[in-house]
Amino acid sequence: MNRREFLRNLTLVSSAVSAPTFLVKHLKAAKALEMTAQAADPGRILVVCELAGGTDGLNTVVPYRNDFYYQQRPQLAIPPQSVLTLDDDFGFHPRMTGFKGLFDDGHLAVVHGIGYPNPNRSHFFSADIFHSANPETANSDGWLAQYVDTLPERDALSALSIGGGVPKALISDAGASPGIRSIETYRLETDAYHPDDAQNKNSAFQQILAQPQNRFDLQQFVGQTALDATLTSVELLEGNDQYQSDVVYPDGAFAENLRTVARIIAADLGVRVFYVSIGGFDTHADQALPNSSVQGFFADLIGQVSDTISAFWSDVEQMGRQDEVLVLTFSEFGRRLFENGSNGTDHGTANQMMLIGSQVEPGLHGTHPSLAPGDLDDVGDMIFTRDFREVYATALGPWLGVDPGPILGPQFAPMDILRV
Amino acid sequence: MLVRLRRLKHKSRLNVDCSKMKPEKGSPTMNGIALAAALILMQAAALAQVGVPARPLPPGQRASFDWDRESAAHLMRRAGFSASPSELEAMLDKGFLKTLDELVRYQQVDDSVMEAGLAAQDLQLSRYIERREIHLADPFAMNRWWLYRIVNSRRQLLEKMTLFWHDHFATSFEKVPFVRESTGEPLLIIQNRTLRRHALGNFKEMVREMARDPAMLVWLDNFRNFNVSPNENWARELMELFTMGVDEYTELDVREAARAFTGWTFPNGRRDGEFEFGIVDPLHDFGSKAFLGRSGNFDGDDIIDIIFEQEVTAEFIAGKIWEFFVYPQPEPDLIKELARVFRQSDYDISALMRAVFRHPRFFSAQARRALVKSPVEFVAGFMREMELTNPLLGLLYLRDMNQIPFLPPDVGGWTSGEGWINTSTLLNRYNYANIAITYRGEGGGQLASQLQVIDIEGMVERLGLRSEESLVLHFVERMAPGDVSVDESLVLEEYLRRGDDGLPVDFDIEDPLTLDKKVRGLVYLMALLPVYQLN
Repeated sequence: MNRREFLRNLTLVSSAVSAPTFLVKHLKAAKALEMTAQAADPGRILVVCELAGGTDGLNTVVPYRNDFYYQQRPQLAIPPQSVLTLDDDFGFHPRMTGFKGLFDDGHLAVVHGIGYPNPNRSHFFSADIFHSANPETANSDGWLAQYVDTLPERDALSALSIGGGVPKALISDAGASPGIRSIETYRLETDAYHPDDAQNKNSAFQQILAQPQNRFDLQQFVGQTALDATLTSVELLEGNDQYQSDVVYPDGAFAENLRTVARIIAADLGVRVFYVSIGGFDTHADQALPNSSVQGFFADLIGQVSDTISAFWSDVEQMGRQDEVLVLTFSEFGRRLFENGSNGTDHGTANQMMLIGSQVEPGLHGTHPSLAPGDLDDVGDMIFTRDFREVYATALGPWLGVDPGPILGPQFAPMDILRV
Repeated sequence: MLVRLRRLKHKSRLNVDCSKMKPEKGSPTMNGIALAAALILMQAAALAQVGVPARPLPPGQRASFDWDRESAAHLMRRAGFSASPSELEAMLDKGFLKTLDELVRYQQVDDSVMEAGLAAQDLQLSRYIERREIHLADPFAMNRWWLYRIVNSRRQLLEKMTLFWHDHFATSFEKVPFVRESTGEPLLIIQNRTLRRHALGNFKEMVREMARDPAMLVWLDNFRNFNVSPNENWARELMELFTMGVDEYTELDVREAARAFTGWTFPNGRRDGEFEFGIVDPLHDFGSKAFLGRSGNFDGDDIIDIIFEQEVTAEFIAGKIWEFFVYPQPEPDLIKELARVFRQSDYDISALMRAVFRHPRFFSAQARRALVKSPVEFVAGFMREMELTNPLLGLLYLRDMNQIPFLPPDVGGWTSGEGWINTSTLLNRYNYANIAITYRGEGGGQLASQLQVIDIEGMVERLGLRSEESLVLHFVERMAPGDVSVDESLVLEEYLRRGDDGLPVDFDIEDPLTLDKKVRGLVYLMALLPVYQLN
């Protein structure tokens, strides 16, 4: 009996009671067998961080020697003396001390000029393109869901979205990955007055879910998700006591979510992909303080990203799992070079992506788009120099060990930015 | 970002020949006598329909359907937030057309019981405003007010449409937590009143008001859109999300429209805390603009006029309405047909809604349970079916189901369909149902005193439910009439007959412990059914 079959035969425990020890042992034994059977699989973990709303890449990795940048951004440009220098041309926003530390330690790679042909400036369409990795049919299956679908056996714990929802990247026709807001509330509760009846309720529910749920199109999808919910909530119970850490995360939901990722990594449940997201980057107005471009809304937000991911990385290192984890950041588009009249920036095109891990080839990779007026597109936006799917191919191929071709198309080869 | 399937579905409905569609009536200018006459005719048509067996009809003609409990429940899940058994009975007595007329022309429906309830619970908005509770940087107070209305109002379609428009013109308290200084009204409440006023009124008028709405001016930054260096945020979303849909305009159109809205701002700035709209000439760009193939010295209202001249605008809204109220991915010819009704009524929303609910495909098998309940629909529906009135408990769970009114995730509004369902949101739906049905008055404090206990014993006695068969039948009819399979019913009956050791025992309703445990357990299991997550 494998772990999945074992779970299917199991009547669920009431939420009032924790998972019995015998159950945990069985799960671990079954999982160990599964792992051995898939020896070719490198067993690595990818953590994808979406910075939603369109980040201002130019004020993240600042081209501090570029006159065009300073001409077009009289209010918002980050002064050269403030940047955290990365090389002779670029430096991080001064609030990104966490990322600067990772960079100096050789754990961070920046890929310049990320985009795709015929950029769409709608948040939703452009995000869909990044989620599906398909600019032509952006409503096709999610790129990470397609990765999950390549795994030999459907396992609801292969990929998890931590936070409120499940992104399109994790949804395919074959199903959606689970979403976990917090481990504490991720369980099925039953009548606290009648705990003796909990088994009866659970077994009636399992019997209902075992019946064909196809009278309506959506019913099957809901039934499968319900089954995943009941199974994964039992599995996560065992992870609760595995995590010990003295790493202090910043405040906020994004940090709470990455801490949850760390807790689940500690629990060793075989999760391969984690997805977290932070919003608020749609800075059309009041991006910075009127009298100080290095302070204000965007500074706080990008600072939070930098502080949180670097705290998470410390946590991963403390667990000794640093060789297994790769973090990837992206946003649906960058913002326009020239600032608008509201101390903000409108929707733009090219942006950077970042990779964090002990196996990355550290440094700045690729070519930054030209900011010269003649080199911008007809709207005044930067022209991308590298397709985002090359970075995805790197995450899928060398890192996760699958052939990226069927998912992304054969023309997108992995970049040489990982030491694996 | 959550799944946004629906945005991608609007593309296919362009360039379809609509010349074969016949015009429909429903003009808002119809006078009272004509309306009365039309109503009598419609009533007669409805009488003729009921009981007539279904037979294939040419497309575009009215098909018959049975106005039975299943149909009434379907209508109320869509045009409202479900209904209690007694409400459904009343609608069956009234007939479909009268029911629909009361939903659409809601002014004729007396809602004083709901208003009195708000007052009795001290939930009136005016009281919150008086006490300045909205200042607490949390839309909780506003949501207690709105959810009480949603659950208790007899004007169900008005509440449903208001929620639809809030999703459409999605504006969040997160960026707009401001109140108007002189009156204490939150800007989002001012916006909610505007949406309510036009919810079943004129869509073009609604858009004109949204262009001047204080919350919207803050939300999409137009109050800082000045001629020197325009801000595109409002202009882009006006077209992409509010009227035409993406790909129907160029980036140049966005920039030119933004110029036309320059100077639409708060002339007194934000310092006086009044957020009064006005147009400031020195900040407006009076130059010529080229927009959607036209050119001229356009201002914001001209831009809106030109947008409403585009056929795609009526199609975009009709499509979005259909996807919210009926089923996803509507056929292009259907949308052409509805868009025509919408345009010919000069964008009268009530004409569109009548056409939607009277459309044969609204009651078709294709439409039944073809949507996923949003969290508000799930909570309010459960409450209305179980005859609960105080939404406090549900409000506490809505966040973890991913929907808090006044806090949409972004300008695109909430997700839809499968996007509502993931393992976390499902567990939270189940856990809400569990606490709602098993709460027995325990705990203390101010909050606990407002939670409601379901008197399951009284309900069972009043309804004379004694056997496990009658119990299952009753709660299926109450919560999901027609949508629970025989096998599922058998599992539920079997559950009632299981003792704590899992072995079968005789079900004894006379035993208070059994009644308390098993009947609550039955309602809980009903709420866990996959089909119960669908709308």
